Amino acid sequence: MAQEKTYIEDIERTLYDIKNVDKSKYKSQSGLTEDIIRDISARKNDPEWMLEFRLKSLEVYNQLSLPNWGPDLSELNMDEIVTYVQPDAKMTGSWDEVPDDIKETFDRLGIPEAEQTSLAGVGAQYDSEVVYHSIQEDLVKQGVIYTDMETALHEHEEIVRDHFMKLVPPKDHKFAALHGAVWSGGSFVYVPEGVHVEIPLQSYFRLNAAGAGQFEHTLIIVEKNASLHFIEGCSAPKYNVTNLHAGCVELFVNDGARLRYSTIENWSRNMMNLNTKRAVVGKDGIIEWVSGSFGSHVSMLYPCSVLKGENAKCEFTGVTFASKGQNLDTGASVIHCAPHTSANISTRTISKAGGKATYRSAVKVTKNAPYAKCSVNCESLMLDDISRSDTLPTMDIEGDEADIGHEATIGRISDEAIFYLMSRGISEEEARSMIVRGFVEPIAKELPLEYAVEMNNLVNIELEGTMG
Amino acid sequence: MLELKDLTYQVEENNETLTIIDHLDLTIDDGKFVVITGPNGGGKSTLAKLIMGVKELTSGQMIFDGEDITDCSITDRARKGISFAFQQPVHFKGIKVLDLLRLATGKKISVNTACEYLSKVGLCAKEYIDREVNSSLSGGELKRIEIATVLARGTKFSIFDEPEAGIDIWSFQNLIQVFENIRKTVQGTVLIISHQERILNIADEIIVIEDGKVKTQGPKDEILPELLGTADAVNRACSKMS
Repeated sequence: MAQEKTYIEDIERTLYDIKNVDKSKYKSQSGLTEDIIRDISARKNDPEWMLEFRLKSLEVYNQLSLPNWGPDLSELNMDEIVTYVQPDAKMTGSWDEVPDDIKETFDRLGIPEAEQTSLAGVGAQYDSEVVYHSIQEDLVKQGVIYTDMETALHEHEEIVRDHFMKLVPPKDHKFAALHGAVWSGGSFVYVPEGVHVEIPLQSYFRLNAAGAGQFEHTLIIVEKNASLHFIEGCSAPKYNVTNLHAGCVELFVNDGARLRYSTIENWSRNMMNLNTKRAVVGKDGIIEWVSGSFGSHVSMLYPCSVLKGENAKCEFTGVTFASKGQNLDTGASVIHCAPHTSANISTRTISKAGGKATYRSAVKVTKNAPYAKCSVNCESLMLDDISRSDTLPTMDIEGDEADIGHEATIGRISDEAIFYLMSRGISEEEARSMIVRGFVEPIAKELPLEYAVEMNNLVNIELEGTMG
Repeated sequence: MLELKDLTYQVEENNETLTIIDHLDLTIDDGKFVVITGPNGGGKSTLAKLIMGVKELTSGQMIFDGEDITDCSITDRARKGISFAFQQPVHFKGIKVLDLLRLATGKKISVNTACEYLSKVGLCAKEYIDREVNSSLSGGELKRIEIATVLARGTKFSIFDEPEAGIDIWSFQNLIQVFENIRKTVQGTVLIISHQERILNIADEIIVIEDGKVKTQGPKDEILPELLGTADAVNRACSKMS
């Protein structure tokens, strides 16, 4: 008797893969030299201190080695990466003024529509520069600042100078140094004391140019007892050459403040995504990370929370989906620096069609953090027997009074579960989708609506029945 | 009507071919309450899984309501009206009891309707309807939920694979009541794999499977005394030995 076999198709990426003709106004030469850094800085009209910062970062970059752990990065050749691509568009607050091809790209991604229905402000970056920015008037009146990093650097220079790459210094690792040298674009948010931004702000980063890098910098300061939900999205069309993303996110959550930072990363499969995100949280403050990693060829991403004030909290919810040709090394880290700090890390990883998904976490409890609590739960699901899933947790506990828990499970979709659902009259394809949807449900319910839909589409994997 | 013709199921183990079901012929008429019994390892559960399509038969033919279903997938058999209550119900993350019942009926049934099915298996419905189908449920609870989903399907041919396996005595008492109620109310054919005398006792027909073959098949009143007689004989022999 013929046995029905299944083949899981790849994720539908047509929407993200539409390329625009490269109409950039200026492109730096490929590679990384002092002249290129000076040229980028001059074009961006950086203050002198920023040029110096960039040049020092370049020095650090040249001194540091590639990490000796994690995915193989040897295929990344910086000599072939174009670090700065200036689109032929000036930043505007009106979509009508955005060039048609760029506007159409963001239309397809649903950004203007989301702006109308569910966002209080939007930033849209195309290659190396932000081309559109908006914020609701009532937030401006309350003193909220939401703009691109270049504008912030000129209009709020002191705040930027006090915070820029203070949390993620260039010496942190090679790609932090690279970021310090060539950063361009990104978002700046300042929420004054006691102000609650009820509706989310969203920045979307789109990389269109082949062989280019995107190095946006996101700096968010939420003052005492204020709150914000910030959403970040990113995507790129697929090319045959390597693209690089080395962004940097620095989040300052002050005493009693709350920040939710949601990301869905959906880069193309030629992208090296080497991103750094870090938050510092004051007394009674809360950082909530919701992180979805779906795209890219290689990813290294471990958002870090420094719980600096007493009773500071971190909630991390993440999902990673690695398919054919993908090596996604993701996770989270938490540093407990004060008494009664607590963290809850919950992740799901899925691998299929030969993809490799690694969950990597680091929990550190310093001597100054008695009664710290940390709970780590990571679950992995492999959809076939050619995929791989690893869990690599590390814990460094210096104090005596810590309550730390780690729970990890790795499994495959069982035949019994599939047979069970089929015996209720649904097809094998639907059964698989249902199991995967159930697996990521705890994450999906944390996502903003439009991203929950995107993730559902993503796990609504297409299956093709073949007899053989 | 279900007709099984010359059914054989073999597995390879340590380079040896083991025959679990051996050229078995069987006909089960419509509207009957049938219990399959027999010694452990005799092929009862395998036969139930072959009927549902969970296992793939080596040779033979299956005819359901005049239609050849030998090559049909599990899904197709389910859609043609065969349902199956698993001996060991599966855990599902992120899926609630209500979802499972809706899945079983194929309709977005109301919470009240779903509760009625749970009440039929003796569960206080409101406590369960929003529970996830995971390890927080006991074996007995899972079994009863499993039976409720098969009742909810309401198909013309329902198979229950050792419903009493792995549950405590208290749950077992409830379970017997559930099957006594099913016996009175359910339309269509019910096929139960069981060793339990109390379940055998409510059967219309009993089939004894041994060594992969039908040893005997007939009305309960004929078969049960024979089976009990055998058990009594064994008991007597054992008591003499002790």
